[in-house]
Amino acid sequence: MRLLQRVAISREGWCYLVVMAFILAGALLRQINLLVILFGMLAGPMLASWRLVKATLRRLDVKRNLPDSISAGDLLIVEIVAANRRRRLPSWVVVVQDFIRPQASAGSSQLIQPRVLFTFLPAGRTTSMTYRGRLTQRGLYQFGPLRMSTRFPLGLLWHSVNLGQKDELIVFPRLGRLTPLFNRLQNSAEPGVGQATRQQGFLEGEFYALRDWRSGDSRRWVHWRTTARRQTAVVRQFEQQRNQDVAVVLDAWQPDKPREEHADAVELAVSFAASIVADLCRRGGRWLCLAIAGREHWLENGPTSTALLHESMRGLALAQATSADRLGDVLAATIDRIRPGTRVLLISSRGVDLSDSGRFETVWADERRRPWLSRIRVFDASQDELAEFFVPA
Amino acid sequence: MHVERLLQVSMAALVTLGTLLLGMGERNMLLPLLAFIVAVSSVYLTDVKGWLQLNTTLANVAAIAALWMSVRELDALHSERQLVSMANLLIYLQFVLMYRRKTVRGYWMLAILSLLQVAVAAALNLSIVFGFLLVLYMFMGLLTLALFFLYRELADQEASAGPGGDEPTRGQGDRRWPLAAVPAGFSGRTSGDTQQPGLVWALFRQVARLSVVSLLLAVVVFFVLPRLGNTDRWRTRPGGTYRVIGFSESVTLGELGEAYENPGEVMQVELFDHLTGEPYRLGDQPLFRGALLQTYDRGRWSRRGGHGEKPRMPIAEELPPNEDLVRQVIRAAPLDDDTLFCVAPSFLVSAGYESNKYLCYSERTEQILRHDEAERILLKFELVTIGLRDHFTSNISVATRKPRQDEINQMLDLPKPEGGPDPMVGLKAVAVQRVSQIPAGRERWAQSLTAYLRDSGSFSYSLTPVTREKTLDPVEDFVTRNRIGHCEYFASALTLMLRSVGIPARMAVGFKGGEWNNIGRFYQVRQLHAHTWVEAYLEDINDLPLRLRGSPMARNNGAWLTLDPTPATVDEEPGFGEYAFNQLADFSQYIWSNYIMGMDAQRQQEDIYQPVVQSVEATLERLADAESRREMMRGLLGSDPRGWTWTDGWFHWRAMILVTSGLLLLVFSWRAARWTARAVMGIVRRRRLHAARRMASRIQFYCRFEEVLARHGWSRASNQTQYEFAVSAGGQLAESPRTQQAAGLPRRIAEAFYRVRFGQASLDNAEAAAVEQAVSDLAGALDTATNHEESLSRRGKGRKDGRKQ
Repeated sequence: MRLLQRVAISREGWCYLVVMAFILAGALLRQINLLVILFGMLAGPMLASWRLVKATLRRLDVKRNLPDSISAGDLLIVEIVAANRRRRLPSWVVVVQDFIRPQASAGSSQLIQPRVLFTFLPAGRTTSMTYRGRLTQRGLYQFGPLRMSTRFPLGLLWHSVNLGQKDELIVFPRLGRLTPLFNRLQNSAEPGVGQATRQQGFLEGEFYALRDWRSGDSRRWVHWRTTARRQTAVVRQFEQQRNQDVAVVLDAWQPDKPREEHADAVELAVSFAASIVADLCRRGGRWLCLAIAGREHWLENGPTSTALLHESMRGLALAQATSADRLGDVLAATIDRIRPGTRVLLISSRGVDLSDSGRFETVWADERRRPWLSRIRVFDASQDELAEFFVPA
Repeated sequence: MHVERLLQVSMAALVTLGTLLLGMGERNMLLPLLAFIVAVSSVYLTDVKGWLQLNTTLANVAAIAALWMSVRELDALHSERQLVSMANLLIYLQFVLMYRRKTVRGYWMLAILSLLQVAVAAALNLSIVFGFLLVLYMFMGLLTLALFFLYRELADQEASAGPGGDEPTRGQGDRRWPLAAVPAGFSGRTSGDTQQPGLVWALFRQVARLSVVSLLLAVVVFFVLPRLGNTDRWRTRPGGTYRVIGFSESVTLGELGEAYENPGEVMQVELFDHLTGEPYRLGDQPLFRGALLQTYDRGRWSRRGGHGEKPRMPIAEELPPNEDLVRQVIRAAPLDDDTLFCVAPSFLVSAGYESNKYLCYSERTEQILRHDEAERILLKFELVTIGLRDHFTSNISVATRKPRQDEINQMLDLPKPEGGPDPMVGLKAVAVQRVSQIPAGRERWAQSLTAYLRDSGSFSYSLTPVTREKTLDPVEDFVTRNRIGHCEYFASALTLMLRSVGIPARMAVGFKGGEWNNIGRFYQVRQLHAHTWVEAYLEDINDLPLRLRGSPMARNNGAWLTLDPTPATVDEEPGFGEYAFNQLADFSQYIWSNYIMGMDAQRQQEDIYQPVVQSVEATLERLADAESRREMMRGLLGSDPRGWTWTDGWFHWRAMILVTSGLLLLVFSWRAARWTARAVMGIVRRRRLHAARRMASRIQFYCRFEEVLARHGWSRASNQTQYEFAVSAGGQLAESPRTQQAAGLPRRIAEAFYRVRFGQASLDNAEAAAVEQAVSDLAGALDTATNHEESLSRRGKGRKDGRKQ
């Protein structure tokens, strides 16, 4: 849908008009016919330009193709496809400009305006171009509306058409590298806690979870309802699970007036959490619970899978830090959802003292929840010690 | 970059061409030559090799030097000189810029300077060559602009490219999060390889099409743009005053020499049948008479006295009956003499051009003259003549007035002996001897003497100066000894011979023939067509041909016999190519002189506006009349459309054309109507949008008011008006002691809203501030009340928990 068309005179066009006016004044005041001709020769291109800039963008369709997902700092390639639906007239020098607006969750307000230049669009043909770059902050970005414009043929007039095509892209947190120390920590059995294992599997014929379809999966395993909803093949999982379940709790806190180190700590915490989730989902074979204490509570729980990874990444991408202390409530909610034996990792952007019964009143007050406090592993992203477990990319 | 190189070459060509145009105006070919050298050297040394690039300081110094040189040329107070020095400054500045490293700004400045320079050149030029070069300049200019535009877009695209696909670099400072403060960067691509020759050719073709369209639009603008007066009044003609070399009002034999070879334009003459309006081409060469010379004295002919006053030419009330009337439309170039030329005798008719008012008529000299007001303009006038008959020059025509006796005596005057022998003794003897062999009759005598000079073979025509016997009168020498000379000798000899046998005669000076232009269907008369011939007066009715004997005017006034004794010269026939080129050149010059250079307010009125208005009026009248419509259809279809039957099975091509044209007209009308409707709708929509935006900004306070209430759980129901909602909210506020003081605020806000929204009133600053304050007060009161409630509830909950423990 085309929203707004506009023809404006460019800076050079104004200059050209001034010269034209000067020549016309000379022609009329002095009655010099050659100046009248010269004026006509200048007016002609101006009028022709007006027709051409209008015609150049007529019946020209432009659309944008965005990737499904991307991580912060990764190369983003956006395809712009332009189709000239006219039968005879080609289009020259059409600039397609996109507008990328970071939304509140992206933590940035910088408007990005990438553009591509179609030098020549033959009649009846479709041409595609790309612009590429990197979005360095996670979060939600709005793309659009697309604006195509041209100043062809002489650059005197500028015609632009705003196309109402808007898209959204969630930029996932940037993934870092988990150190071997962290891996050892994760694999080691927690003292005093029996390893909870699941023994469900295909052979037993017991349904365990849903996961994306892989080559070799039987058609009988397809879970049609979910497949239809997600527009991608999803099968029921019967694999045997023998890994320890993990719960990751992210505490995205920052003071009212955050300084650079607070913002860095939050991003490190988010990136660390995302890296853990991605690692666990890649390995598979366990339950994962991700909870985020940010401006809004967020909690996702389920067997590790691509779908869970996607959802988790989405939650982490949109997580916004807050100055309110909601960790206690989130921790309580997480404990309520996880199974016994689950390893709980608390990643915070600040120091956390779980023995503070006032702060974690909701956990301490509940006898069922209280035992968990001693088994929660806390990572403080505001401290350099985090580097022992996680190296940001 | 390929595009930039093309731009550099194109810009250099544009600068050279612009300087050439100016050089033509200044009649100075040094500057164009210099411009060519600068253009070539700057492209090679500055743009290609980069060996010579003026830095800013050097460029500024050079520009100051150019300014100084131009100011030095401003010595003369003459406006044209000032213009020239200004133009020279533009050229010098371009030279400086050409040797600088070109930037977008530099290219643009060069283009503008060149354009201004051409504007100055247009004020200094008059020739048609300038017109052709101007068209070439337009094409070159458009090409340069298009290339400049393409270059700039590519440069913009390059400049807009950020880090793009590069790996993100670490942010500033020692941040723990590597991507902190790393800005997002994008770079777009450019489609189409500008190095492709095919693409550049496509651009050239596009520019060529644009040039043609622009040229057509320029023509339309040129003809439609209203003129305020006569053209070019302020300009002095280059080379001083206008000259008429071929023609002069007094003739001195032996002075003419090779001056007859001057191809300068004098006039263009179109002839039309007065009754049918058809173009009228002659089978022989027409004679355009200017001056009449009666007095001869020792080789010099002069007219009888001065013109006297120049009264406007009177309109002929009655034209001679039974005569072929031919209309002459004459476009006379400005000359240094006010004599105008036409086929004689001519009359002014009432329905002629408005510019006929510039015609004067001297009764004494029988000449048509240009009025002083029209001294320096290309004058278009219209006369009717009876001097042409059956597409030939009539050799005898009725005298429009009877010559007085003193005039007849003067036309019989011969040089007198001054104490010696008769200076014309030989001439008289020849004349008497010739007529003695012919039966009596003045007309026959006159024709016989003419034939003797023209056809006997005793006399030969030459433009080469001839050495005459100094002791003899030149005409006597011509008749008796050196029988060689040009038209003036032949005409002088005949005039004096006629006088010697008692026939009143005078010499006519003007132009003969001219070049017939097949394209424009007019006679192009040049200086080289200057000619002299003889008019003999026949008073006796018996000397007149039978067709004139019945004319009362001829009986009263007599008639003039036109005699041309000059032998015809055999011109070398040009080849077909040369002929076609000459025809085309003449026609171009005709168009240029008359419709380009000579297009002033009057001509515009006569040749553009009036014909268009008349044509539209006539068409509307014809369309309104049923018979005319049928006539038009018959004209279009070749038969009466009522006789058509679609069952005949034949294919009528005219009908097809008509139907197709009708359909095209319908489509065009539909598109035009749609375009107009869209334009109107667009304007209306934009206005509505602006109004809505203005209104939205004016009632923003009410939106905030509703937002404040909504935050506290009070929303306006869909069936509630704003006022009802405000009253209801006020009532609820009044119920609580903490919000009681704000109970009146909603109503005040709603009243203000109604005044603005529906009363179309606007709040003044004080009122607007008061309403804003009311909204703020309301928000404050509600927040305070809510906080109080929350604290109460927390306290209550705490007490409850304490009791539990």
